[in-house]
Amino acid sequence: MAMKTSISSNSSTGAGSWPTLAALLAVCAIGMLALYRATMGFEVVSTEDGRRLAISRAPMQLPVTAIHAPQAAELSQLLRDDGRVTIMTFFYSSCNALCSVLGDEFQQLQAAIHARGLERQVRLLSISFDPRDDAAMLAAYARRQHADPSVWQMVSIDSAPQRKALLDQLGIVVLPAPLGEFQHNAALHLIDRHGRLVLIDDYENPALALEHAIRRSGP
Amino acid sequence: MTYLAYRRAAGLACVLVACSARGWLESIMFTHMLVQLPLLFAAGWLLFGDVYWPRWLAVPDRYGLTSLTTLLFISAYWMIPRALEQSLQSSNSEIAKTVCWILAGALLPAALRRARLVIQLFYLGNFCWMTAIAGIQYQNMPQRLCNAYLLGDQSATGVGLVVLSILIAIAWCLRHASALLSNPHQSSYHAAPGTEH
Repeated sequence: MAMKTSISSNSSTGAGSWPTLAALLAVCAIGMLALYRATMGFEVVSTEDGRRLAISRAPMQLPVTAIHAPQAAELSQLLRDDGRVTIMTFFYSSCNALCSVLGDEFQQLQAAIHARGLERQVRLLSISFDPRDDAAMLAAYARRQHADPSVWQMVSIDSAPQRKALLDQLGIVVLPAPLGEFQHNAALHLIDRHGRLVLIDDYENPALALEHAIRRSGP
Repeated sequence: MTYLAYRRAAGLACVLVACSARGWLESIMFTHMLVQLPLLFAAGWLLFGDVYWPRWLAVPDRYGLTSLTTLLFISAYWMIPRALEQSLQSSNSEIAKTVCWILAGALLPAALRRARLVIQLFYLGNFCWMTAIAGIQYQNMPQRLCNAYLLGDQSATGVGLVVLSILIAIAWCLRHASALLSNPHQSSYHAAPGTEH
């Protein structure tokens, strides 16, 4: 301890303040740079906000994913060939919590699309991340939601690696929650007419997502 | 075994537990922030906190200012939920996290010996204020800050951070009770705490 005491008194009386000042400036510069990067320029603190900001800065092409749908065998083809802007979300059909809300939001969106005559500009797509959701389960879900297939389609992904690749690339994290449910970062994903993910809106604000979709559907 | 051997063994045990039980500790936000990070910090303290470093290393750390500022940045960075979650996905981030917290534990003992009580109090206040505010935010957020953690877990972590900030403040006050209660005109109040021994 005596040795260490002598260090402390030396450090206080020795080479002056300049080395400490320089070291402090360096630490502050490195520290601020690290904080700047972690918060994407002091704009976000949560992973989800970071994901949304990153997409709004740089649109993303979706990976090749085989799907179960009458219109196309592959997801990006389905999104690209349709000619409409797509509002896309992830769900699982046995969900009682959030997905029921999402279902209701999509019902409202479907009603708004019909009421405003936007069927040729905007459509809805629900993608299941639950391997248990086969064609029959999805059809039953579509009936429960009164989904009009010309506006609102539901697809599932058969291949587990492709499902994981899609979710990973989009930054969707699905967590097992109590009572056999899942918790996941639900959001409304806007896909432009070229099949690129261009914007992510909050699932609580479908009206805003629809406005964004209409704006993107213009010439 | 000598004291030093026990100390090094305990430090190694902390690193081993923090790294080998990684998957389990990091699956829950509470254990990630309030068990794994403190274990790494303790490892740094136990393994390197008492090492007699060359004297020139203390020159750019007058009054412990550089070390204590580094500690504040390390704790601020890893309280950003996005940074914490990146360590789950990126091994570079995981390595950086491990090195940061071992370094923090290694730096603190010498920094405390160099820093006068007033300086310690300044940094302690900053750390506790920041940790408690982050903890309150974690509890109040209606949405999840990390996609990998459940909302209840986030809220429990928030409570843990507030409790931690209070406990650290109490521990510091108890540690320096005699100096704080003594006559302020006596030298021990102004001297570096290392000189009391």
